Amino acid sequence: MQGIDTTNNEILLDIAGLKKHFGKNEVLSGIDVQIRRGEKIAVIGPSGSGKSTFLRCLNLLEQPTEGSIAFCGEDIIHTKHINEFRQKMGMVFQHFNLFNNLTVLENIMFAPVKIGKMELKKQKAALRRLKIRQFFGRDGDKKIAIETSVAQIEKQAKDRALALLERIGLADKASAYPSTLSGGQRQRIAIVRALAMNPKVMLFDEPTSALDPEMVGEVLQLIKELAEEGMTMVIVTHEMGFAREVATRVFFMDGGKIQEQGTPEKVFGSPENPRLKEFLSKVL
Amino acid sequence: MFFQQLWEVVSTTKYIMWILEGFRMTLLIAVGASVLGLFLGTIVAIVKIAAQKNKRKMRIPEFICDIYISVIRGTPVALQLFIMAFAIFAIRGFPLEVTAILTFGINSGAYVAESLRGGIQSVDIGQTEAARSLGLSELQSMVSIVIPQAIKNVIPAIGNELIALLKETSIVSMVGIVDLTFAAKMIGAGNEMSTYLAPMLVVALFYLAVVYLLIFGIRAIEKKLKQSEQHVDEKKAEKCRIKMEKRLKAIEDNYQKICLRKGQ
Repeated sequence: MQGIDTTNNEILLDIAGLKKHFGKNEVLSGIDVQIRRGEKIAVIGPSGSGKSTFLRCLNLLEQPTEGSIAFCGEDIIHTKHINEFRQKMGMVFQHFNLFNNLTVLENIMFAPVKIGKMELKKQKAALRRLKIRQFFGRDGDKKIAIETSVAQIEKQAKDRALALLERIGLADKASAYPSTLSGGQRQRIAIVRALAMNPKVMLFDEPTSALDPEMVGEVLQLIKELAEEGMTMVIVTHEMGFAREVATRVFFMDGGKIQEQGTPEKVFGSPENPRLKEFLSKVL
Repeated sequence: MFFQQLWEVVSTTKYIMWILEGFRMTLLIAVGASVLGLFLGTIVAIVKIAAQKNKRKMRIPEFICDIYISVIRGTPVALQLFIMAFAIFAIRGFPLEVTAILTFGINSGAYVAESLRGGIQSVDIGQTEAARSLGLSELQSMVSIVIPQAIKNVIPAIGNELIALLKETSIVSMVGIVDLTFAAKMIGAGNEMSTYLAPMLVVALFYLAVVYLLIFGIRAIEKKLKQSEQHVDEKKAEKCRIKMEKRLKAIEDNYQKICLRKGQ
């Protein structure tokens, strides 16, 4: 995997001078990195080093105090359309966070259907405006074609959800509620739920930390498959072996800063930063 | 002797009419007040939840809600009823039962608001975060994800509140409204009866019956909500499975067709 050259790909995320304070407590103290399409970034570091906060700042679940984040060249901190950007950034949480009141299938379909319906409403509103304008003799023969319907949106979402469930081998659980599933199953469904929105980048926040050891494998396997398909991802993880195997670049964070970054061979093989050396000697 | 009196209460048409009249009034006040209370409570809870996220804009509404909750919860309901009946609505011809409905509605609104707020806050923040991370708006995630889960959490508390409200309405006899309790008092105070025990016991049965109905209803709702989350409805699952297999087959067929076309 590390053979893939991503140096010339477009920049998906451009982060500059990112800072985050919680009250007087400075969690992130200036992060500048660029993440290109196709890269698989593993973020490692001791607990309390700001890894999770960094990840949560990327899709603005935490509002950064200072700095800028650009997604596909567009500023996302000062935009009013953050929801549209979030649709393109899938996030997977440590505690799965599947919607407890919905079945597995509904969990996966939920966002695509809601957002599809919203777009449809917008299109219809635009069509209405156009008709009114045309009534007054403006915009002569312009036309807006509405190609979908609510039923079609739902059917598409359902087909996609079923295909995704089939892929992870949980199609028979489609009508079950999350509380009846094991941790590994829940996390795989959470990953698939994020995938249903066709994200450009996936953010993983310690996806295996809350799992039983025997279930870690199945989740990592799925993430690995996604990586092989070329998905751009940022993974905060404590699984060093996994980071070494899958990542194209590894960030070592400590004290709210990226202390060292580079290919896994370099970071794990010949670390330079003394704190990274100390960290690796403890975890490896 | 006692049974004789009991029989007299339930067999005398005049007494029965009084009791039924009182029962009607009690139910009217209780139902009216719970509707008003649930409505008010929901609004206050929404204001308080919104205020946590948008401190600056919601400062004044939140302040008003805080005062409302602390004043209502901090004073006895009998006192509130007296103030409403003898001061605020002391207008000639203003129907007393409306005063009572307003008083108890406003009173229970404060309690409902607090339990609803607790219910919404007890839903894991991760649920909202997950919805937001998928690109849904604050309102969408609240309405479709958080509130359905919150409702399940607050049903016992709301049920308690409704039961308490029903019994509290007996205070209206203090301002001269003829409700169940007042009817019992009237019967007992009459010359023919000259005992309170028998009519009070009869009326107690009326209260008990309504409360039992309420408890039964609440339990049924709770059970239904619980079931929907823990167990898979077998029949539904089977239907879903059959449908899904058909769909998957259709997808596969389509895929093969596409493959064939590409091959040619």
